[in-house]
Amino acid sequence: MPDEKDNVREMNNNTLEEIQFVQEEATELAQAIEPSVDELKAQVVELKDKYLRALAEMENMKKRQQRQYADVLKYGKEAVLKDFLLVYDAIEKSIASALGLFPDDDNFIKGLRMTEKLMLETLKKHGMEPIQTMNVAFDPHYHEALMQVMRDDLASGMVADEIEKGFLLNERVIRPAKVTVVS
Amino acid sequence: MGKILGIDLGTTNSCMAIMEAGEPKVIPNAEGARTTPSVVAFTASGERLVGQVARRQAITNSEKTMHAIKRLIGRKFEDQEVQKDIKVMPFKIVKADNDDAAIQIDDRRYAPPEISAMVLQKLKMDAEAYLGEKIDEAVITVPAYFNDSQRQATKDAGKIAGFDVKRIINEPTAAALAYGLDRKKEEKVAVFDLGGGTFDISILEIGDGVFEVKSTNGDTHLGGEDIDYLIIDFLVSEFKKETGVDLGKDRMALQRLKEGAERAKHELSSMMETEVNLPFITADQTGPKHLNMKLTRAKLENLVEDIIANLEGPCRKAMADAGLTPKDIDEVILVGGQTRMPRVVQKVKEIFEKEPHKGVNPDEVVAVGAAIQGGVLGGDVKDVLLLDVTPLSLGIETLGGVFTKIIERNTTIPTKKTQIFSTAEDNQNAVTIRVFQGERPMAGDNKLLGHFDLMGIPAAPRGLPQIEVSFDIDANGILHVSAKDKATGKEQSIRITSSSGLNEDDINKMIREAEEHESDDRKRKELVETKNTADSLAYTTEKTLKEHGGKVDSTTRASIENALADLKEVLKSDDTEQIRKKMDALTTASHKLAEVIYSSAAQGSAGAAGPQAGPGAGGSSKQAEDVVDAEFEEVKGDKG
Repeated sequence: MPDEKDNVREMNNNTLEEIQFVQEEATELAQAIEPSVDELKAQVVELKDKYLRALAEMENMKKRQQRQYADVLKYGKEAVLKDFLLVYDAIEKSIASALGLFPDDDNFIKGLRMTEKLMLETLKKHGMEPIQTMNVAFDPHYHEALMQVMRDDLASGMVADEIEKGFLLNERVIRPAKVTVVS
Repeated sequence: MGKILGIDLGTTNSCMAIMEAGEPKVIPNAEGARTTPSVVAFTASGERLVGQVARRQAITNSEKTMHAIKRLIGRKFEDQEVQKDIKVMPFKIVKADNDDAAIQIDDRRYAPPEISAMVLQKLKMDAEAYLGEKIDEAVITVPAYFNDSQRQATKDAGKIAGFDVKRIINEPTAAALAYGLDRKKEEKVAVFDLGGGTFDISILEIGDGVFEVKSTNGDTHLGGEDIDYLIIDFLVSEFKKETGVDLGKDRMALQRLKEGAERAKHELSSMMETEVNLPFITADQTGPKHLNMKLTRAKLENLVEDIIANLEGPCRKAMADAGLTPKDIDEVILVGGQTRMPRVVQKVKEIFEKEPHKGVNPDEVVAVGAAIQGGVLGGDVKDVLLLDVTPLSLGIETLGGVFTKIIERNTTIPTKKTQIFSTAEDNQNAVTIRVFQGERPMAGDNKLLGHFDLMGIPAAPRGLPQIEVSFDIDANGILHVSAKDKATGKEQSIRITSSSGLNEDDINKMIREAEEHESDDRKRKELVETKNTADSLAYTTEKTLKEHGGKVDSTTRASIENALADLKEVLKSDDTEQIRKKMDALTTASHKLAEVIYSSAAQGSAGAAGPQAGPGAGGSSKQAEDVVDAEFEEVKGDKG
């Protein structure tokens, strides 16, 4: 009947109004929280970045530590071995000194030579190798020049004499050879 | 935004450092050394050498080996300092078109910044190789007395080397930063820098992170090397007295003497007496000669008296120029290797009437400070300071009242650790998790933070269920403990705030008590663990006997049963030794049983074969290695 239809139409209109009202409110609310949403978004981006950086730094540190550990294993004995070179020097010098006073085949010198050999072998066992100075050109990567000398038998820039033996530890120069260089 | 390298570009040696996870770290060069000589050389073949390599060939190539460029950088040719250098430096110093000092090598003229840039370039390359990343920014230090021109020239050197120089800071300021003095409110700081060849004293005023240089003084030609020479002179004169031989004329001997003198000097900083031992130092017609001399710290201090005395004048003058007396100076910092000498430290104490700061390696302290400045500029220093640590260990109580640590003390938080536990009794259907905090091995001696139960564990032989226990501490220090039965997925948890823990005094007390009771606690823990193992052994032996007892003769059976009874009896006591003995006896008695079982056809026994050595705190050998029996109490009973 017409009354009912009118009632229904009125109800529909009211509902529509309500819906519209709620829609407007929702839009306003969305607009109101939008800036804080933007803030939060920015925060998230920043935090994510910091987090990833922290993770990355950890990874990098791990890698570095592994490398350093490998280095320690390789070169950790460096200080100890370097100190022992002083002993080696003394043995070398004792031989040189003895050769000035006794013949080459003297038994005592033999003993000293054996001691020297023992020392070099022990050093070698731990990765130490003597640096070449015979018939080589002076190379500051391996040698340290103490003095320049005049020599007829050698070309300029060649190593003249070895004053103190140099050593490599696993290819790293632990102590350069001290030499004189032909001028 | 990458990391910023801190560089101490020194007159003789340079050093570099960088912030790594909030800590300044010195970076070694490619040769493995923590400092790099500030030396550059051009070889005959046109090769460029930098650092130790350049130094080694100096004698063969003196005109093209440049060092101490810092004395020339930013100066005019007519400068007094430059003119002095011309007289002593083996390389050619000339006047550039703009009247600056320059260096002439063959037909090319180099500005000092160009040469210093070569040192910086090597540092850059070596740092990048070491860190595995590009470094484009740096903080470089300069002496406090450097003028604008010298500072700009140093900055130019950095630029030429490929750095974006974020800042040039004063060396004494860097040193103060390394000691954390920037955090002080208002202070007057004296920086005492005694290196190999120069002495610098600076008075700084620090206020709210701002550093002001009030005055500087020093001696540009006074340092550790002068002390070395005094020692050498002494050795030479003593040797002459003893043997009549003058080592001063022997180039090679002098070389060894120099090294021996340096070594002795270093040793006397920590010992009262040392020996200079140089066999075969020389030889004459009578044979080889050896130098073997004792040197006491007292004698050394006697030798260097004048040098030590000369340190005072510049210090007094610097204080006067700043309008201050020793009482006004709040802190004194030591920089430079030579400050390791006890007599030097003593002199500093006398002059400033207070104990100077030590602690940071004096050879590296300026580079460390530069790295810290780099860290602050790069913005990464402050973040790391927010990380906390948990002051005491956290864990749960396990079988026998043992405290099983899950999180070790001093662990940086936030952090999460998980461990798997199991039941202590057959058919146990619930576990009680008791959370403790402390350092004692027995749970009862630590502080109980909380407890909860996890129920509904399906019936199973003891040791079989897998209960995953997690300890999770968030950034605020709040602890979440959870227990989850992996079979059913059932989980319970508890939240413990830091306020239910302990304050600093309590913490220290607990750590101290743990140390005091260490041996007693150890014995108690051993007893418990032995009991657990023995108990486990008895249990499995009984089981095995029940299943396979029929396979052995009655004599063997009887001996096993007797050993088992003995063990059960002794378990009532607290005698660790006896328990072990009875365990061994049972193991031996059960050997026969084990043999029989292994040799008989496979009967698929559910239990473990024969006696086993119980691993750790009573875990059965069937479990994974990280499973530990927990004394999980049934809800109704209270076994304590």
